[in-house]
Amino acid sequence: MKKITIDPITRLEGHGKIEIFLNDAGEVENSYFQVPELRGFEKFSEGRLAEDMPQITQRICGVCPEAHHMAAAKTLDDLFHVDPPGPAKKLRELLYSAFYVTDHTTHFYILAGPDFIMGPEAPVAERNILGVIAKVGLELGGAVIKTRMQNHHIIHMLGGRAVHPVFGLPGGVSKGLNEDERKEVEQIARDSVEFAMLSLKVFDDIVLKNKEYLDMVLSDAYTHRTYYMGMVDEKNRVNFYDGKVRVVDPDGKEFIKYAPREYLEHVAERVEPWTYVKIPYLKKVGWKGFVDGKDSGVFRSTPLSRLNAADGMTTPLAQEAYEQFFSTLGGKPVHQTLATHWARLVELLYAAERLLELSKDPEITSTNIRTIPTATPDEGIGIVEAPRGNLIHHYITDEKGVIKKANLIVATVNNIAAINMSIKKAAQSLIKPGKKITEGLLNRIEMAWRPYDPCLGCATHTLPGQAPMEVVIYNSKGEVIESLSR
Amino acid sequence: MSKLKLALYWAASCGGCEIAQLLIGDKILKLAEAADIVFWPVAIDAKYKDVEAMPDKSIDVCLFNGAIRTSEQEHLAKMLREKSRVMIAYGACASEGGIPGLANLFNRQTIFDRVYLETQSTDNKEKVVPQTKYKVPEGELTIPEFYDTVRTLAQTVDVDYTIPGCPPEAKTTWLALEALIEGKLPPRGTVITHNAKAVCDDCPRKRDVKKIKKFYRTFEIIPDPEICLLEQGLLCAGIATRGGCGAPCPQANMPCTGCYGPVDGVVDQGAHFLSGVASVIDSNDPSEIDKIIADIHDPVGTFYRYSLPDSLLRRARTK
Amino acid sequence: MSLLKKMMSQLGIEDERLRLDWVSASEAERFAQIVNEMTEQLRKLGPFSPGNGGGNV
Repeated sequence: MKKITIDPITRLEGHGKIEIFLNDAGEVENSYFQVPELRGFEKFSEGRLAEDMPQITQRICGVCPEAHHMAAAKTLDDLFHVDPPGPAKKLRELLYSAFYVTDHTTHFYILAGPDFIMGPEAPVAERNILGVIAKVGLELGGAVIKTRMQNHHIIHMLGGRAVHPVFGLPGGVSKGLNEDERKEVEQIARDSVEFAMLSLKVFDDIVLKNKEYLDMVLSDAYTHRTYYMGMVDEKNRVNFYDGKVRVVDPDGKEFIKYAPREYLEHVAERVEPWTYVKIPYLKKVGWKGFVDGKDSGVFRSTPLSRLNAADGMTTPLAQEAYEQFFSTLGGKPVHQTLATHWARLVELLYAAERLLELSKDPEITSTNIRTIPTATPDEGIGIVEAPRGNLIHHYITDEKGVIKKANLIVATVNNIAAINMSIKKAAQSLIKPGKKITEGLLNRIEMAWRPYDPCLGCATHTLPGQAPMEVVIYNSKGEVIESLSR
Repeated sequence: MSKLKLALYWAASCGGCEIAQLLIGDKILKLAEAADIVFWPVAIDAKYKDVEAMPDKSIDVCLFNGAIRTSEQEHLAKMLREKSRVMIAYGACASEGGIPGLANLFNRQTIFDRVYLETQSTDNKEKVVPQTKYKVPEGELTIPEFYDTVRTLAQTVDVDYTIPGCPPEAKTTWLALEALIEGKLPPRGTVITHNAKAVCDDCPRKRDVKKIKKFYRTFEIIPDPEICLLEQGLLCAGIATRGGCGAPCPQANMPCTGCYGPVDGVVDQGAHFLSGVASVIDSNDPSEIDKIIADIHDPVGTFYRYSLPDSLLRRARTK
Repeated sequence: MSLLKKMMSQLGIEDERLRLDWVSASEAERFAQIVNEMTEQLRKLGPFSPGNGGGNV
């Protein structure tokens, strides 16, 4: 069969390639989303000190290091049986909210935005952040840069550095905020809320008011009916830092809700021989293949999923945006994958509002930010919502806190099945016999995975590696009758 | 004046270097005036075939981050080396192996067993494992080969400059980019940073005589904010690490972990850090010394956090 | 030395491959003895190889 290769996929974190097979009639027979990278964190964490894990695991991803940092910090609290003081938890959530502002901004404007702002088939030289800045002008372009820089500055303030901060410890955090710093954070938070509102307006102007794009968003080619996963607080509202994991079915009904310690009962990972990344699915439904529906264990863990799985937001402007999102798109749950871009902006607003709330909290400048652990460590599990999905860290250590075993289920990995399915469906609807396959058309296929904001470094933290072996069996005439690969 | 052609690529990396590159903030507009970015998968849709089509030495500068751990990464390193006049190892992974380099404590088989067979959430009764070539009903699929050992960029191709850090601080990145734009690159082989002396030189903490009777882990104490962390018994790598970063980690109350690589003249950063630590132990009695170092539970992870592939031994001995 | 040996064990290198001793220029016999002891010890351990496993070690 004819094979079309997209290598590498671009405007995301990490490495991936897409292989599309066409039958003789020129229709898409099948497509495969392959991830060619791995590094091995689940193994080389063994022998490391548990308290080094926030810093080691955050190198799984430099775009979302704070997600790993927070998951690791919470895991350490659990591991050492220690409860951080209230101000420490708030500081962690403050830093985490600032990070969410930077990350969702990065994705919308730098990674995915060019598809809508410049156009799906715009020339490659223009279809990127530099083209976006040239088109939207320095005011908006400047606001994007400023918002990212300012929120990275907050991370820098607390964590020493903007990428790969040093901050989380079992029982607390290493640095707090003084009153001057707090005032700075509050002002940045206010600016960020404004910026988030502006971004929602940009989406409305550029996408929702553009008939071609709106049709694309609502089209069946980019729609899947799956289960949706997201972390929620005790009132089932979205919370990125703490809570329980809730999964709703394709009709929006709650299917399961579990505490971090119970994750192994609910999520399992399978292995395919043609990609290095593993493929999670819901255990209680079972793996039925790369298919939609209530009987398939495929689930999604994205901003869209989080809005679907929750009953609302805790902050007022985000709650309004949440309500408008669902009323525009016809109620809950929303299945249109491209709507994830919009959902991400609702989350951006929530993160900014949450940052503002925390910056005004009376405890936020407290110096009581560490509880020294005294118990013997043994096993810990910590879950947060990373921007790209649900993130689980699980460590088992010896009595000195040296890691014996680590298991990580990392955000984007939850979406691997869905990404495969989204690419295939888009490819099948866009590639038709006789239709010329242009670079722009291939980019429209890539637009099927971009809403997931994949972080493939995260998804493939692991490392298998095996010497390849091929056995070819010839018959007596020297013809190949069987070929086996290991 | 024609614009510089710039390529930026990531191998076994985390994407942190790309975010670090974006942290130059609005200086990116200055960069865009001076350079055409011809390849940058995080932000631009140029594909591998586009790079293959470029003539040799047509790219002026390539900033390459990430360590080399698969056949695809090795291939890209060699290809970009051919197509570029100047090759720069950007970040700790490309320069010394970085955190992924810790995988050199293991080999493919043990890692493979852990990931695909042993992890608690993996359901794989058929013991399926990824293969470099696999036949599906429609045709053949390939994925790169995984090597046993992580290597640095310089162990793979000729490298002209190094920009250190995990990731490099914005000011370090801009120091290099500005030199590039103005055509004022330093002598070939330079590690580009503001301060080639140890991080201690950047660090504002007060330093006195170091005499350690006990080492502490970061969660065991709340350190004094003014005094040198090593003096307080924390294993701070600043003594064995190149500066220029401004010592942000000690200023955030956490010890330096060594991400800017070794100081000038030192070949093996881990050995340098280890001997520095050994030299501050305040005892001549072997059994007391043993007690003191018993608190260092992970020497390799502490001393060679970023630099194992670049060390003299390069990897652990595994069966 | 103890710290170095502790690290070497993480790297899969046996304690017996490392030895630190002090010998002055006038202690020729002692020097020869130490070298012989070490040589015997290493012979028993066998050749040092960084590790097998194919690929590009």
